[in-house]
Amino acid sequence: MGETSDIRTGHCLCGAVTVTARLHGTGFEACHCNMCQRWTGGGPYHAIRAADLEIRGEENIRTFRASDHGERANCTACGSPLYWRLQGRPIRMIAVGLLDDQTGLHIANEIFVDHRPEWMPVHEGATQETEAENLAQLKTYLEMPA
Amino acid sequence: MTAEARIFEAHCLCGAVSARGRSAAPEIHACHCEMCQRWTGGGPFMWVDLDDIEIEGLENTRTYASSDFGERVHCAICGSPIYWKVKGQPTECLALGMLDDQSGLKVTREIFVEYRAPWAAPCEGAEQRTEEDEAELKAEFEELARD
Repeated sequence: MGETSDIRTGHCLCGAVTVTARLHGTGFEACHCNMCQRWTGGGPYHAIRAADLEIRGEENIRTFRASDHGERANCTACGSPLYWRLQGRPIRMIAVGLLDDQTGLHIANEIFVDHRPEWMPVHEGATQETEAENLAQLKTYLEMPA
Repeated sequence: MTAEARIFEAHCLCGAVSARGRSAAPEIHACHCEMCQRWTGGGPFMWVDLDDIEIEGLENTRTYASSDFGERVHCAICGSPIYWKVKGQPTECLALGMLDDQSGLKVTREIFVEYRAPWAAPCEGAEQRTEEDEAELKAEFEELARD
């Protein structure tokens, strides 16, 4: 698998938390689950895969577990969502809203699409995955050695 | 004859903050300014203007003054955005994500559209307003916040 050198910077609304990340690619995910919709203030949570992640301002991060496997991180000062990750696993994706430069990015896949609110259309060109399909994948992933 | 107001119940992700409000003609508005995009994790901040808003659990919230007139309130436990408002003024909207029932709602207006993320598409049928289109309202807010 080729490595990109697409390194991007980002920060939360107030700047207390800053990140540098190497993007895996330009496609990212939109999650329509009810938890993400509440967590982001409405609509899906937009997350992008990031490697070589550097986060500064960790003392300003608060995490919350809304499920038995997920963990959500926000800036304590401004509330900006930072990332969702599997409990106990490395951070693999960060909130797209953090990125200073979102040029060239696109929604590649949508998940929990059976919970998409009716005012929101399907994003053309994105793969569509339901809650059941996503959880089945998650189950497989969690059963793999860490 | 006015339409009967619909009552909306609302909760943040963890439930520490709950709210309700009403509107006879509820509409979803979306703001694409850079601040809103960062505040929501990506894409616009979306809200519904409501009357008679009551909020429980404000002691669980944190307020961030994002400009000289605007305040953004989120749940300190789960991070959920609760609302945006003018400093010193009553709360007039709730974040869309708070609303338990979003059926029948449509996005009717988008603002600061020139700042829309390159990957985001306009909502069909929604009025598109630029920062300049919003300048008059912004001036009103600045005036209100100064009082």
